[in-house]
Amino acid sequence: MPPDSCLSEGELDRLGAGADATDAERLHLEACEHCRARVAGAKQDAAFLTRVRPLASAVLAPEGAPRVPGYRISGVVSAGTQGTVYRAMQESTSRTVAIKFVRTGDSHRQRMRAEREVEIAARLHHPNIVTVFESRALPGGSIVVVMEFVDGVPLDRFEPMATDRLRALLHVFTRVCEAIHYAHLNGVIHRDLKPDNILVTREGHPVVLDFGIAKSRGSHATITGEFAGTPAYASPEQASGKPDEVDGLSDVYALGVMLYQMACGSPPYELSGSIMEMARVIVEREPVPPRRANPGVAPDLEAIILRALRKRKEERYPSAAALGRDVERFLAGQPVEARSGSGWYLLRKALAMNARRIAWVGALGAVLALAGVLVAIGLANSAALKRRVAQQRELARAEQIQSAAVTEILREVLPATDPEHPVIGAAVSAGLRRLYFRLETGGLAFDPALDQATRRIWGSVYTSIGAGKAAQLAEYAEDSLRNGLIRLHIEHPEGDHPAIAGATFELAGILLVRGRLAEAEAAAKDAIAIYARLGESRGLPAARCEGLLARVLLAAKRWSEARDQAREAADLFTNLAGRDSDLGRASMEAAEAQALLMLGRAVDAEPLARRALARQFALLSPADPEQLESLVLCADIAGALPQGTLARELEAAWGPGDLTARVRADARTLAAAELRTPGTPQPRARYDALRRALALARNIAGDNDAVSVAFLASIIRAADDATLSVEWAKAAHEAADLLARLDDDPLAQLVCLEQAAALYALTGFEPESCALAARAVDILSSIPRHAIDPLVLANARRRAGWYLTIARRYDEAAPVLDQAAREIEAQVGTEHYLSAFARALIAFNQAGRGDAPGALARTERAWAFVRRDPTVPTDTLYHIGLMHGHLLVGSGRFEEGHDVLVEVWQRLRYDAGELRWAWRDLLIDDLLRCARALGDADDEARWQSEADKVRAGRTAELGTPAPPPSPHDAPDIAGEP
Amino acid sequence: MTSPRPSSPTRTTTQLLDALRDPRDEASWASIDARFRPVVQGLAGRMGLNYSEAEEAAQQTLAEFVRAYRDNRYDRASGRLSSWILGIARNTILGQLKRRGAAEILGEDERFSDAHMRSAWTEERDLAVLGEALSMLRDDSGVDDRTLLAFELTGLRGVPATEAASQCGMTVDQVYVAKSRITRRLRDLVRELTDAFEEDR
Repeated sequence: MPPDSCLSEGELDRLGAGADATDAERLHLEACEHCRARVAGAKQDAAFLTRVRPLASAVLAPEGAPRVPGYRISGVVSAGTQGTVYRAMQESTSRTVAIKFVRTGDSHRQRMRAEREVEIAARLHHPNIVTVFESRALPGGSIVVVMEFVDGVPLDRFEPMATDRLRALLHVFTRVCEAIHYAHLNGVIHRDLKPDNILVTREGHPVVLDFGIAKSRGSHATITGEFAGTPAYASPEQASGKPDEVDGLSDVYALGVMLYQMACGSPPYELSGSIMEMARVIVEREPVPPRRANPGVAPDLEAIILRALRKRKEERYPSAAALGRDVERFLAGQPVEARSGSGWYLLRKALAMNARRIAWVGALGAVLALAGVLVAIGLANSAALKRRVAQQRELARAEQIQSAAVTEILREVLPATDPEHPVIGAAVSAGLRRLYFRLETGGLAFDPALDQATRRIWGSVYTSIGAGKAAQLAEYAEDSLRNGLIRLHIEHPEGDHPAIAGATFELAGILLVRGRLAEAEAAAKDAIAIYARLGESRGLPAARCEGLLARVLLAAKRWSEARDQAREAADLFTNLAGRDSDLGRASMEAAEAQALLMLGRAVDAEPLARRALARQFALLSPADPEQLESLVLCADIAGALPQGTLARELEAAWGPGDLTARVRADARTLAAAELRTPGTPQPRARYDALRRALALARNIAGDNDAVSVAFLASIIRAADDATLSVEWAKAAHEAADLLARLDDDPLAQLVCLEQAAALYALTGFEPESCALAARAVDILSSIPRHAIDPLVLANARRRAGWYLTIARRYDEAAPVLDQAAREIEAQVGTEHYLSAFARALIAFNQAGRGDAPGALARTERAWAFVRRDPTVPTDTLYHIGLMHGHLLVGSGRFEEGHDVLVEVWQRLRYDAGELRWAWRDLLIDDLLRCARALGDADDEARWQSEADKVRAGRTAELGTPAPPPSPHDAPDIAGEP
Repeated sequence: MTSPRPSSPTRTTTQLLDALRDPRDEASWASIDARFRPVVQGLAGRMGLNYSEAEEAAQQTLAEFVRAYRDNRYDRASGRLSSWILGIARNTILGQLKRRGAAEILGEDERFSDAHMRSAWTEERDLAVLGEALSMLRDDSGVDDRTLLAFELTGLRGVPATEAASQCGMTVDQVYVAKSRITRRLRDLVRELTDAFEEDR
């Protein structure tokens, strides 16, 4: 440097950092005061930078990060082919967010992904789907997408804290299924589901990300010809490059691959080589059976996985929700649908639907849901019904193909008739339409017998649904049957074949429903003629054709001919044995009675109609359409004969008044409820109608226990639907008494008793509750140990002890609870929520006996345990939290009690209806006490207003302004202020 | 509805506290919130809470602070505001850890000692201040992007000036000028912000 010029910035920097000055610099500095001051400043700068540099890495945006005004980027979350994701803080709110950055240089495809992601995510609002806040184009053309930051790890790296790892993973999985189902309902298919796109927080809360290649209804965003998705999780239809076939079932497949990996720790098949080679494996190779990959996988879980991974998407679960529900069933130890046979499928479906409805009513949540199912099973097991069940099984065996066909139909239709579905009618139509196209595109052609049976059963299902249902569907059904007939004629050119007669009979049924009576009559007569030529004119199928002809004549108002035809058909049925012919005979007696009534011969009609209804009460389930039809007929006859037997019997059940109109109204209510038509009448009306029908059935079918049991099962469900807890309790009580009188299956009695005891307890009928609980305990002691699953026994014992506790019969409850806890721990170990629950109950009882401090220590442990374990059912968590909080409050530990109870309340808010009113009272009472004790007026006002809301809600539900006599009042604790 | 913008970041905590008496002054509340939230959240993270727990801890701490402040429970004579908030944060964080079942470790772990928490708090405060200062520099229209980048590379990331010059399209001398100029601005800002943070008497 020239000695007379000042130091450059570079030289200053070097000297500031502590380097030695050169001779020239030294000479200059000696002469220049200005530069000496500059060097001193540079040293301070250097010292400052040395101090902040270690901090800078935490606050500086990573190199290459975009500058997004309003956000401070602090790190990279992930970097991949779909752009880099940064962690950032939104400056205005200090909220942490994730920012996905798609560079200008990135492909058009990636930009489209980003844009689509924003567009799609904006439509989805679900706790398990990532929230997208905004997207922005940056100067230069890059795009950023700002979304919720999820502090989690990809699904396949998630390590649950719970002891049973797989169970916890499966719980997470069911939440993912719910989220995906929600997206599907909103018309969005993810198409790239894989563990990397599902982040799971430490608490086990999954969040689905990256809807970048999702397909949405109405968009044509698919990039044709390109492979969408990740090979390892691609479905066969994705791998074979058929974008038009990709739908929600492709996501179900991807979920299946993930489920496989969860259970087995390895992929279902190895993929390697070129894309083409991988695609071939996906399309052709069957997965390694899960139990071969990991022998520890339960057979039920294996069945679920394999069903989700079917190559043909029609054979997979019909929705992500259905897959999730089956996994839930597996977790609850219930039979899974993936392994269901056809006949049981129907029964279980009905029971499962019932259980779901019970679940939200259940004071003890899942406990009662299970009991609800067991009641239904228990009733079905009762000796009086066993004969009928046996007959049905006989039939099912004889008609295996038919059953398989029913399954095919049910697979399409029943999932869609899920009561949770918003528009049931539309969904049923859609299901039947899909079935039609499947049939007509040869979907079942691999098995001609199955194809034919499906067509026929569809026809008869349609016929039984009745007229007026979506004309287009009737057309499909008719078309499908006619096409089937053409194929049959080609196969059997001789023309006379039972299959042709059967299909012609179904066709006649459809034509009758469609009101094309002349064609229906011709078809029925054709079928009758074929049976005659085959020499089978006295068999059951021919009798059915004769009966159908009678129905056609009735519809045509040719009363005299109808009467004669009905009598002829009834004779044919009379000569045949079995339930079906008994039913056919009842149906024909009713038809004859109808014709007679129209001919003005009500007196002759009455005994026939009465006999038909009595038979239908005994043989059909309550509110079966045929039974209802006869009921209406009887009401019409009673109207015509006000002094007749029927009028008297109907009046005994319905009371005085316009009988015909009221019976008809009830029949409509029951029919609508049975078919689950939209706008179904009030559940209360259904309950009342069933009660009246039972009264009539008891009168005219004689003291038939089987009828009573069947009705009570329906009444229990109806009371449950209508949230009529007391009625529910009474019906369960009645059922228990009936079963006891029949000396029937103790397990069935037990579940009825338990249900009644629980509901009495919660509605304030303490003596009844205790008496039934005590009876339940007696029965428990009498059941031989080998005859019952020990855990079922232990849980039943636990509940019995609980009801005694609620009624403050602490000393009786204590040994029962102690034994239950010992048995439960022997089955599941001490580190299980059931054990924690049992211990908490013992503690509650202990508090009731005056040992509050000891009790608190126990509930504290139970509470800590269940909060740690994400697999604990929510209702268990609530109840333990409530007990613990209540004991804390009772011991004057208001602040802690407040924290626990507020947590319960906050969790509860998202599950409205999970807790019965009585529990809400307890919760809010306690919170009010906390607020008062802590002198927090705001809080007090808040809980007072919640208490008012609860009171109003209860009044709306139960119709009683006064609360029930506090069965919930937990033990009073000594020393309580 | 738009959320209130925080008022000037260099208003002292005392000024903000005075303004906080007026419940309608949401901007002051937003400033207090913006100032302390990242610090509490960062502290909670250091103490072993995960992201959402730490977020919740910060929320609870600040809610408790404002409630207590409006109830006149804060006595300025008894200590600095930051010490007071640190006290609330400490209780909140330990409460969460306890609830998670980690009660047994709390007594033994040195991490939870008062001294350690205080020094962690200071580090978090310095981080927050530095982040805020850098953000103010970025928003300063008098500082262009290239100058800022040259400073970041040489001053904070330790990149040699020659390399930074080629990355920023500047001469080496320009890089040195940028580094020196921005360092001085940053130093001033950090000092002002730290003073504003701690000045509450």
